[in-house]
Amino acid sequence: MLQLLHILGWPFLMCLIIGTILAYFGIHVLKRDIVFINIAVAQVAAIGSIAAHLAFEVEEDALLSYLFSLGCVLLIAAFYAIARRKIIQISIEAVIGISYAITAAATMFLIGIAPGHAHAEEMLAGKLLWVTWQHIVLCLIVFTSVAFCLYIFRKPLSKISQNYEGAITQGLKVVWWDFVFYALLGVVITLAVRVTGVVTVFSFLIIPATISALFSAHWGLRMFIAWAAAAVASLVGLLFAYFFDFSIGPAVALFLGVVLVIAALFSKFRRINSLNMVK
Amino acid sequence: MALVISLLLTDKLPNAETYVTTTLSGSLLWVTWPLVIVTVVVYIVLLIFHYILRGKFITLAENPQKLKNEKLWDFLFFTTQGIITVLIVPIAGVLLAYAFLMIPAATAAMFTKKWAKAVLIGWSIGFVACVLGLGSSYFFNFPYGPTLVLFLGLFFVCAMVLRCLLSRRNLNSKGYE
Repeated sequence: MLQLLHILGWPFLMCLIIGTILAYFGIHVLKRDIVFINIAVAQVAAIGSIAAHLAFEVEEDALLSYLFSLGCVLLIAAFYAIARRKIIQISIEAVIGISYAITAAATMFLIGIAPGHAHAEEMLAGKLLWVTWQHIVLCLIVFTSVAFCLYIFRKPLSKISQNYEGAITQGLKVVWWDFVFYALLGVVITLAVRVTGVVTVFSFLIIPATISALFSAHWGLRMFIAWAAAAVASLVGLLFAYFFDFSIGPAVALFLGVVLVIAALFSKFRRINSLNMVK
Repeated sequence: MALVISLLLTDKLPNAETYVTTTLSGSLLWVTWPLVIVTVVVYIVLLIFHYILRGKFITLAENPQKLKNEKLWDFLFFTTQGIITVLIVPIAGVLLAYAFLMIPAATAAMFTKKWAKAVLIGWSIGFVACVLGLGSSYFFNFPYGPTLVLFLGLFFVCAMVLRCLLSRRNLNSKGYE
């Protein structure tokens, strides 16, 4: 038991922290129909990291590498904010999806020119097992600051997520607020992806928020449901990975999917039952 | 979920890293003539199928509620899309297949709503990007897949800028700004 706690304690704590902040962002992301934002921003952050490596030969965990990633994330945040307002012929989801393909290609291009920096599988699956208390403290500080900003800016961000056109008619500076939203999300994803990998972050962002949408439309309740789903899936996923010797990031993502399927079935039966009761 | 299961399965495979990288980037450089011929034949058959039933597929995309058997047409659309993907991914890789699926179509959609025009614009962009991408990868020794996607991306970014400029000019000429 002690050995289990020693190995899985920090990863579980990290899952709870990432699950909490991403559950909130996930609700926004679903309302905005931009589910691919995570992989696109993660890829942009990876470009920053590789660029720092090529220019200054710094390692992935160096401060300069983080700063380069952050710079790239802010640039893409500005790009998405402007594109959403100016390009009305295609959806912002299409722009985000295409920007992912382009940035993934740019990453592979840079790796092709200067091999030996990044590993495709590590970026996808992450290194959650090797998380340390330093990672936890860093994530706690950054995510708390982001959560504080989200709390202060909650009204304009929610208005834009609920109804973009309505926010424009109300006179909100949508480009600016979109930039703020994408930048904050970008900071969280940049940090989270380095620890847990793209696949796990994507699952934490989308699946708990989707589960919560099955049961409630109220923000507070949705947050609680999403957080509970993330916590249960993390615990079961970590135990599954430990006992059957699988990578823990994808295992957690798999059980988030399992929880979604169970929640969807439960929601369906509940609806059928209430219909029968009405009859 | 499919990606998650692939990653979990690669845990149990030797050379998992190579497998993941190959699935992402493909092996276009090592494609053989028999494979090219099979791909051409299958794609022509699918093209004819989609051309004959274009009315239904266009309605499915634009007004699905007008179709009688929406689920059947959805099934046929996704099946043909699946066959195309199964053939192209081992050759071109996920990334290039995705880029060819999205970028020419999205670029065309910024300038026209007519299907025939959009297909022509998409084909032209795809063809020119192929020539430029493969040519520069051959002459400058760049990785071919990413170079091709980057050329497609270049077209997309240029199209976005052009679209913004055209929209602004139209607004100015109508006196809205």
